[in-house]
Amino acid sequence: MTDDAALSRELTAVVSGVDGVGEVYSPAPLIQQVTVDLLTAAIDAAAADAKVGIARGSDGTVTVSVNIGVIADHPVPAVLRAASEAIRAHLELVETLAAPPVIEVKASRVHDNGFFV
Amino acid sequence: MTDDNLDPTSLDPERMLDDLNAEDLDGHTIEELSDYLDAGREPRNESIENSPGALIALDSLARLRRESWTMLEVEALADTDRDQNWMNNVLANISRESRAGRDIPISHPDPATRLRITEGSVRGLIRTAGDGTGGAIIGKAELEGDVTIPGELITVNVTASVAFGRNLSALAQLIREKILSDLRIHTELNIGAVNVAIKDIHTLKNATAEDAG
Repeated sequence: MTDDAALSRELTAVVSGVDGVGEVYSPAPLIQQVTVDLLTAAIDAAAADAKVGIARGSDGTVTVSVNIGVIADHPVPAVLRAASEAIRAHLELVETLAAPPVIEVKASRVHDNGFFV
Repeated sequence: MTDDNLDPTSLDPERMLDDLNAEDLDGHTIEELSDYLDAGREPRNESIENSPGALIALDSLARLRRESWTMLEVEALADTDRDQNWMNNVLANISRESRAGRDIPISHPDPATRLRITEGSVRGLIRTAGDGTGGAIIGKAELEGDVTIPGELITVNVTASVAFGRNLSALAQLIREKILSDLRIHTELNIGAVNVAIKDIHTLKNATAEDAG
């Protein structure tokens, strides 16, 4: 099994590379929604480059959670779907999954491609 | 009429933001965000830059300053109480509306894939769309209805302040169309109506809505 901190870093890079993804935020708010008594969270919150939440259930189900900012000239639904597909493809590449993964992608901000100062 | 005795610092955003709620922005205050903006977002504050709520508020604050603050400042010198109150309300709404709020579902054929957009980001979209029409500042933006249920009929209610001399009916229609267009691009919400209420008209002569016809 891949080390989950390393997997989180890989998935953070994968999601960051999806067209229309402007930012990837830390996973804490999403992880709070996971049923923690059934799943074991494996998040290295301190790792700045490991922003994708990964939790493994006792039945082998992997739950991946990510919180992103979407660049405004890209439709949010398309970006969310592309991000989820990129996550799924990477998981299938690096892991032998006992069950289909649960993938949660949330857009927490829609923003211009740049900063206002 | 301009009050020559008015203390210009009374229009300082920092002084106008003292009473806003810090808890709405992941622990950051609008005042803190205002300072951060003043500093050109340097040195980088990781806590702010990694908080979607704080970033939405920062976007709104920056846009408000860039596009509208001068107009409001000039008028506020003529009618200080009314416009300071109005600006405070706008900033308080930005703070409150930037919270993540409810999760709004986006469809996916695989039930194990759960896609969401936060209510806070949708309110940010609405505010951006309204402010972007030119000559208007969104005061308040709200989604009426249960946005967590796919297909549920949703009503968008916004208030706006506009510059004197604009055709109010045409501007309200422009705001309505822009909001509706952006929500159709970025969400799957079933929007039944976008209600735009013009609450204020800004002018150096302190016009009322009736003046603008």
